[in-house]
Amino acid sequence: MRKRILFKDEEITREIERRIRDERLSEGDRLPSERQLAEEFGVQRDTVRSALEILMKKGVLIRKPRKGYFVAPERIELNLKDFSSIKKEIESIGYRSKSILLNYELISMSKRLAEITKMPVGTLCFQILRVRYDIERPISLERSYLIPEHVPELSREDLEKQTLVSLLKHDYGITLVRAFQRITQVYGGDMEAELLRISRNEPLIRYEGLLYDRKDRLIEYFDNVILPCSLEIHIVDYA
Amino acid sequence: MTREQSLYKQIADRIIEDYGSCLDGELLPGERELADKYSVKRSTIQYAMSKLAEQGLVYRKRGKGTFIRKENKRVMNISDAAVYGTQGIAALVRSYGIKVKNVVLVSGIITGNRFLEEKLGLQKDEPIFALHRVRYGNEEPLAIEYTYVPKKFFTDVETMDFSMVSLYDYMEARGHLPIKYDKRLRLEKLFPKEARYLELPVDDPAFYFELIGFDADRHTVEYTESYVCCNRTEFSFTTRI
Repeated sequence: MRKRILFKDEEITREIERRIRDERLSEGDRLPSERQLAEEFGVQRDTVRSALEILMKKGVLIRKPRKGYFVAPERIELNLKDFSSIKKEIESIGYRSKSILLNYELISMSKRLAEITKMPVGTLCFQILRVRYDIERPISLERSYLIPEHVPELSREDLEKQTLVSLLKHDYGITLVRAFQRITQVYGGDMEAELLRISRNEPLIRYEGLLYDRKDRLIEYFDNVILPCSLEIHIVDYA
Repeated sequence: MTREQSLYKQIADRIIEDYGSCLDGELLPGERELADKYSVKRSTIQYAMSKLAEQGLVYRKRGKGTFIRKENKRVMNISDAAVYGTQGIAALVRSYGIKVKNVVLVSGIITGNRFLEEKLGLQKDEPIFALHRVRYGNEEPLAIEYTYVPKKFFTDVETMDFSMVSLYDYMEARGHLPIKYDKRLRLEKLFPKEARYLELPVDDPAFYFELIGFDADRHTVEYTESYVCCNRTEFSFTTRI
């Protein structure tokens, strides 16, 4: 007997995903009921339920008790080739992103930080700590490090007023031209748990970057951890 | 640093101190045993283990426990330098000196799946060749890949044994090697099926890729969904702004 390539529930998940895309359903739109879907696909309700559960786990759908299944909030698309900030991405899909500055201080580089930036241990740098919210939901914890020499008059007001990229450009005439970026998976610690309202040990996406200006000076190192369900990374490249 | 944070760090350090001399692949005591030994909560042990796994110093196996990792600690980079998908995991892993093995779970022709037809830019009911594989590096599962290619470009595809032949070598030989990719990357939690093949606990995190490949004539020649183990992989590259 031939082996089955796709199980019925796997086929149904893809068909539902296809419809969400083709019929342009968006956040909060309701899906037909389990019973209706079962009838339509000609399968048992268990099979439909299994498919719907897969889609919930993938963050495509959410279930509201006694109300049914709804399309989940859209993920923020981070386009790595474009190096657009998360803020811009969020705005482009119509959300109001708000970043709250938690802390801003001058620190001396730890061994770990020194290794990453290839600067001597103990080098002074600004550490900027922010939480980004997508409407009311915290979605990422963002740490940025800047060298005081490049941004001598950096103040809390500056940071609250505008994005780092525009601050660098307008106040200091620094244009970023090159970025080294890295995506890995980490587990949240106490700080992430508290600020992102998750439990400790939850898997998170870590998105780091080293940003250089025209003179090839390292201007910023950022180290963000992001809730997995909020983000999709999109890359177009050539072999 | 909070007291809790320093506690798990201390425990992680002590685990390495006490068990660092174990051999590669040696099984560590269970969480309960370690919790008793260090007089801490099981959740602290779990967290310390997660942190060690993140650094590639230990690895977990579904239903078996946590093991010491000594070799191949080096992180694989699934980046554009060795594009994940271009020459495939095979080339990538080759450059790290890891021995690769492919196990074909199932392969065959699918018709009438509109989702896949749209991904591949095909007309209704055009046949699609499906290839589901588990990729191993040094006998450890690295990824599970569900690949779909249009049959019309690869008419003899069903006669190939993809546990022996590289899919990309075959695609190149037929004149439809993908040279441009549209990739989407997310972090997901493993479903029971993928967890079983990757020998990881259910709900462990994995990178999930969706990849569409185009050949030199801009035909869509590949659609792949894959789950890649997180613990030894990173995704990095340089861009000009």
